[in-house]
Amino acid sequence: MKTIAPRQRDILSDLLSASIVELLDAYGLDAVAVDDPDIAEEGPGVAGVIGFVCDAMRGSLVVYGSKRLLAAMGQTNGSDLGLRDWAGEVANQTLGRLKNKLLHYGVMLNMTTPVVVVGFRLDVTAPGAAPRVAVAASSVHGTVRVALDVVAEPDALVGAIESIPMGAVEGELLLF
Amino acid sequence: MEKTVLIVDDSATIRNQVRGILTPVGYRVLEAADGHEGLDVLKRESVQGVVCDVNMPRMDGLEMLELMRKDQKLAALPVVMLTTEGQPELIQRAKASGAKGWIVKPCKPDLLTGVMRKLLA
Repeated sequence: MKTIAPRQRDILSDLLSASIVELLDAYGLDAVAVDDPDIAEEGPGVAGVIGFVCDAMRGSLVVYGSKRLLAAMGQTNGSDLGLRDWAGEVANQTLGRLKNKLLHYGVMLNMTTPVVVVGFRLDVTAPGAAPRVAVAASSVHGTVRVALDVVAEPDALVGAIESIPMGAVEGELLLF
Repeated sequence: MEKTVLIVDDSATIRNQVRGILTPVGYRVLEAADGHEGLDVLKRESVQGVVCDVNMPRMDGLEMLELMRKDQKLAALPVVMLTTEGQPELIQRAKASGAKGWIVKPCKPDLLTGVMRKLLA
């Protein structure tokens, strides 16, 4: 498990882009996917970082957005501490959405708990130049970038599997 | 009498969200940041319901749930999982351990108040 194939990269890029756009939409931001994930951020930013692993793939996900954008999601009082905590939760919920989409491909990720990094212009690099899938989503409040450093087994992500039972979807309640 | 709900989540933002949803509709809300803290709170406070994340440091929510079921005093307490996870195996594990519900984040206020009213009636 040293790299990802172009086909796997395309699938992950589509799923990741959908995950972040849907998440921003769920919190009231009218977001669209944008092509250039290296768009410069305006002002201080916060990054949530979270790892994942399973038999088929492993890696880490970084969600980086401006404090202005994170505050616009309306879940904190705008304090630095609150925004840092929320950045970790945004990383958690972004990877959660990606994980739930990957279930359709027979991939079941195990997630770590997130950590948060704060800085003025964060440069996300990976030792050893791990293969990266990078996407971005933009709203009137700013742009959020997502970097997924990932390697996968060659036989992973061959295509969606219709017969796989799905669990619960975002925003849904299951009562037992 | 005012009923007490414990929210267990490592995110202070999520704990605040749940507090902000349940307090205005009449619940007293206690907080814990992981499964260890959650069990500590349950052992010293009178709690009628639990809302619990899955992925947390030190002790995750499913482990906490399983330990609750082994404790006679806590075994019958209604627990709703609130998580980013939608994986069927995890949902089945929670169900087998006696959880009463599973909500995939984001947490919709009406959904949470509705399920707590139903379970704590």
